Amino acid sequence: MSSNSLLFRHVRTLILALTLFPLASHAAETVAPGKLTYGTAATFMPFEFVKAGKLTGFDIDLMTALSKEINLEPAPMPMEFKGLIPALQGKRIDIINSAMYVNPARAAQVDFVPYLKIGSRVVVRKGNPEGITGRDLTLCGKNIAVTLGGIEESQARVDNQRCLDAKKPAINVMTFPAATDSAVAVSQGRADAEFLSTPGTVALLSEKPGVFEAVGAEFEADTHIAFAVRKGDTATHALLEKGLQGLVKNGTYKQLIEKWNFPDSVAIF
Amino acid sequence: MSIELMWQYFLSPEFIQGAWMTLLITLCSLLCGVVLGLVLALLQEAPFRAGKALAFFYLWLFRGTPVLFQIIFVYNVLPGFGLRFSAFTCAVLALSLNEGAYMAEILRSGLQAVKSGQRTAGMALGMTNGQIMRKIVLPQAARIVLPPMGNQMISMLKSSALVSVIAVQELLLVANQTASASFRYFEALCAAGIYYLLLTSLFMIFQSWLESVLDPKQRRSKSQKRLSRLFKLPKTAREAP
Repeated sequence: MSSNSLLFRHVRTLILALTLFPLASHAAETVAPGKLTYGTAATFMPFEFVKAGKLTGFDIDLMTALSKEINLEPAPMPMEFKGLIPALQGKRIDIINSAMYVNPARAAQVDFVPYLKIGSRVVVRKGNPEGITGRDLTLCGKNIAVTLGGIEESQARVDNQRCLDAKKPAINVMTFPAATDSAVAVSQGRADAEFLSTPGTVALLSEKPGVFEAVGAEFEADTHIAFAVRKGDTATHALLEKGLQGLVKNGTYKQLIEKWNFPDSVAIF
Repeated sequence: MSIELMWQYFLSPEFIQGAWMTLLITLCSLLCGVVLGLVLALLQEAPFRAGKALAFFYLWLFRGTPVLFQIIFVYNVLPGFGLRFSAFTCAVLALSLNEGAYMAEILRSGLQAVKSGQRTAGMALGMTNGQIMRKIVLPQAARIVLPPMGNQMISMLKSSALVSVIAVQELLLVANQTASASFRYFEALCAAGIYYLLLTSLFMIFQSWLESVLDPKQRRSKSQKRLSRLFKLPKTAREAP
């Protein structure tokens, strides 16, 4: 009899504790209190990549400086690109910091805080065996390697539709988990071309000289890349904007652009 | 969360083609895996030591590394050695090589489970080793290995999802692409989930049918029941062995 009531009391305490626990964690506004947890797909040179086991890149440097401005500790969470928006919506990360291009479809899902303006290039194997001249009808009937969920995937599908409308053979869009996979596919000849951001192209050509070449003119040179916050999360949005303005004022923004050898045209402040 | 959209995705041509590709990869890999497994199992039973060592090395290598690792290796590293295959071929190759290792152990246990008296009886009747294997041992072993083989069949269906990382347009990749473009993760992934469950159910039905067909007691009693019902024999006659 007494053991039963003792057990009942323990169970009651446990249930009470469990119900109170989520209430306690609601007090913090970030996923982990005092930290700014950001998702990043660390396979996108020169914005975020892993060098000698360490996470590095323009975005990483920018976020580290920005977190200091707003008195939070940066906590990177590397994951695959296609998993970033679901993780943000599922409250596993506070923001996305992965050189995410702004486009209307994404803007319907998340709110953006733009920080840079970049264009893209078409990258092919050295020697250009397929005779591609840029982002035009010479792509029809070819294999294009893109990152799953990335802007290049939407761009390649738009180009595919353009080819079909011009009664030319369709583009075979090969989607890979990471940007590095697309580069490997092109270097091995499995894909004929990939779309890469201009800074990424510069980094790739300098890291692996003699393997790739860029063809055609830069396209979509006015696309913004931005941090992404949850739709309606005005508090974090304001925090990021404040931090960014602080970096512009104290010159860190310009400094980082110069450090990573970006042209001055990428700055939007 | 729209069930209508989920059914729309389920019946869309991309998903149907993705499901078909998944089924194709599964069946091809299973077939090659079983053949490879049989060769390895027989190699381990054979008297020469080199055969045993080769089989052991193969099992150690292909059970010791993850399937995803093997898929990516075949796709990205082999071209460096001059062996460049299409994505589909790489997928089937990697999955078959991996499956072969597991099938080898399953088949070996099946072969060992057939009592040695059966082989002795075969020899007494003057059969060659090949005939014993084909007519006595393998049919009995096949019945014994059916449940674990069914297991492998169903698990291969799930492992086929791993080849989405080498850009094979199978079901999971199609679902991911759809979800990334429309941001409707629930509908796209549920549609893919329903396809996987459907295919798994088909495999399970096939396995239970195969088991009932191969089971001699059931086969005997079934044909007896059919005949006796046909000739309307009295109940006592039906019990005859």
